[in-house]
Amino acid sequence: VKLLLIEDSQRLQTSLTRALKKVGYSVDVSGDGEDGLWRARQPGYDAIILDLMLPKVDGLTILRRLRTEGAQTHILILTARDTVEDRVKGLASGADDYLVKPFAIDELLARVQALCRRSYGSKATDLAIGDMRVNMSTRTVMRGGRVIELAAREYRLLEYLALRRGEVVSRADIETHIYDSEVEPMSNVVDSAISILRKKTTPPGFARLIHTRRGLGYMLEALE
Amino acid sequence: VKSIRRQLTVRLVSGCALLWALCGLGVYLAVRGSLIAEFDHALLAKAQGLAALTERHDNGRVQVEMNNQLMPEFAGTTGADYFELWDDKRSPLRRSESLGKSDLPEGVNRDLKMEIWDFSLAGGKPMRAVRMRFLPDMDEDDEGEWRAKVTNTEVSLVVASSRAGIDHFLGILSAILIGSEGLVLAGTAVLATLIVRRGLSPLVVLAERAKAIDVKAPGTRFPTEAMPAELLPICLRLNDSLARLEESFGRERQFSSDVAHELRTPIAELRALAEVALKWPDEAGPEHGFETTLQIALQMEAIVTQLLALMRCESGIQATRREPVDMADLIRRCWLPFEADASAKGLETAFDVQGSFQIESDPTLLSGIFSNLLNNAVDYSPVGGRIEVTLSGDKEYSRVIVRNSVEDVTESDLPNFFNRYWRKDTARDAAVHNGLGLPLARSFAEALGMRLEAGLVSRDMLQLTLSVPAGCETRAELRPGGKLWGAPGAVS
Repeated sequence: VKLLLIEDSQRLQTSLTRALKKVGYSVDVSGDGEDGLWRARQPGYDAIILDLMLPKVDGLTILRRLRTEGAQTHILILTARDTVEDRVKGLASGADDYLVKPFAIDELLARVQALCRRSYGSKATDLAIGDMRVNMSTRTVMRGGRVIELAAREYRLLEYLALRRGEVVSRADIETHIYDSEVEPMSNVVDSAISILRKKTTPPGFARLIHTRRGLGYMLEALE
Repeated sequence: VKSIRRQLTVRLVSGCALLWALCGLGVYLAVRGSLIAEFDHALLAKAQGLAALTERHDNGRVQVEMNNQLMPEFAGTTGADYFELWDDKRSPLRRSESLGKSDLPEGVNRDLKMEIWDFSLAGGKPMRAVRMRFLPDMDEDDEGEWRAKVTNTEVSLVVASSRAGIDHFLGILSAILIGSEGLVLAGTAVLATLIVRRGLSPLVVLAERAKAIDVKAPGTRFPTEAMPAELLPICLRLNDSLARLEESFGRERQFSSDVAHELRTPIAELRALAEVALKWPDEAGPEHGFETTLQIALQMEAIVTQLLALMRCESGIQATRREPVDMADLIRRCWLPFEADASAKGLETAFDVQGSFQIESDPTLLSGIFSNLLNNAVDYSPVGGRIEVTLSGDKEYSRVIVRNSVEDVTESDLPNFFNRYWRKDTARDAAVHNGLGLPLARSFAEALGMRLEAGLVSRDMLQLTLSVPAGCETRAELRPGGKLWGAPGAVS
């Protein structure tokens, strides 16, 4: 799942990026409004975390322009402005959520997760794919009554496939949403990750849930 | 609870009652006095008339030569007046027919030649009498020998009249006076109540307004129109106090709001830093060190310190001291911390502050002003820009002018320069500027009786001018157009 963080405080950028990446998000960062707006216009972001007081172009202007241009990306405003008027103004301008500084990292992560779920039309935190269950609030995966241990990136990949279960997800989509700019073109990082994930999610005696569609991508689904 | 209105009404009515009672008493006594005097006068005239008719004959007998036609009031038993005559041995000589066989009292003090007193007859009839002692005239036909013998024998005459008529009249007068006083008093009570109520109505308005004042939002003001002259100064003073209170509350709210708002971002940074470090301790990078924490703490300290200084200045409680300050020297010292940054940005600097220029002022606040102006000049000048600092003076003002190159500053931005938190760019850029520098510099200037203004010399040159009124100077040794001090490459 890919996020864009537009925040001019260098120290907040660093801390938030670290936290978001640790829980498996792919994060792009922008330190001013002009660059932030340009990046926000690029496709592929599942959610945007947007500060309001930004150099060059302020956050509300970015928000309004994106909405005017028809962008559907979910946007979370992160700001020091805490009055009711400010909140109403932010939400009325097209924001999906509003978080006032200072905030708890866990709350930010929970709100971002909720926004990402909404990006894929899911409100449930517990997804079932055949006999496998992916719990997005506890970030745990269970199959056959046993917990499957996954690294953060592996979990995020599985969660992404689970959110798009039944759909063929292209390699490019996975690269964009899970691996941001770290992936070298033509590398087999995605294939390797899928291979590892497939092994971990298929204990002996259980059917495969991750299927390869040659030339198209991958699909998570319990086939009959 | 004591009520002014009730107290005033009661006292006014009591006062009026006393006044009316005294007036009534005065009238009564005056009328009574006048009547009694007239009565006494008539009584005395009767007594003198009887005395004139009293003669002593050669046989020593004393006779009153009167007849009933001449003085009918003493005639018969129906006469209203009485008299009785005694010789010097207190033997009755003659009494009026109206007295019948009764005697009149001989007076209260027989030593007096004449006295008037009140008494009652046996039937309770109120009387007033006059007693006089006199020598009766001799019968003109008597011989001189006898005349000489009895001349010094005085007789005593008492004449009395009924005073029932006077007493009756005085009784009616008393009743009229008491009745009218009662009516006047009732009218006074009603009138006093109305007058007091009307007279105190501004106080009632004052009390109602005072009751309506909300301590947390003292926006109410006392009415000054149609307010009596006695209450007007109170209203004006209270309004002034309320305005100050409101202003003070506003400042307090503004301060709290400003502090809360400005500290949110550094606190968020600190919290995020700590939470991430605690959540993933193995991956805490160098940015999670004490240096970053210290930077954030210093930033928060600067915000709070500047806000407090600003509030003190705006509240008029900023303490200032006056001592000789060499402005030229102070500017040079304030520049030192920014010299390296200016050099790193390749800024061209020109300082025309040579010599000495002494004024009486507060060096701490002045250095605060200069540091702010110079810091802004360095930070907001583009790379390769120019900074000019000039110290000049004329008869009215001495001026410190700081000019620096700018990009993207327009005339419309100038009025905002001294607004709190205004930045050309809305970015927090918090580690460097918090938008309080110029407002604080202006507040310091105003606290010192100076003026700080911003202007554009050209599209790319901003000018900030600190004007020091002539009264602040103690000694000026400025050399206008003197050589430049400061950075290499400076030009005049």
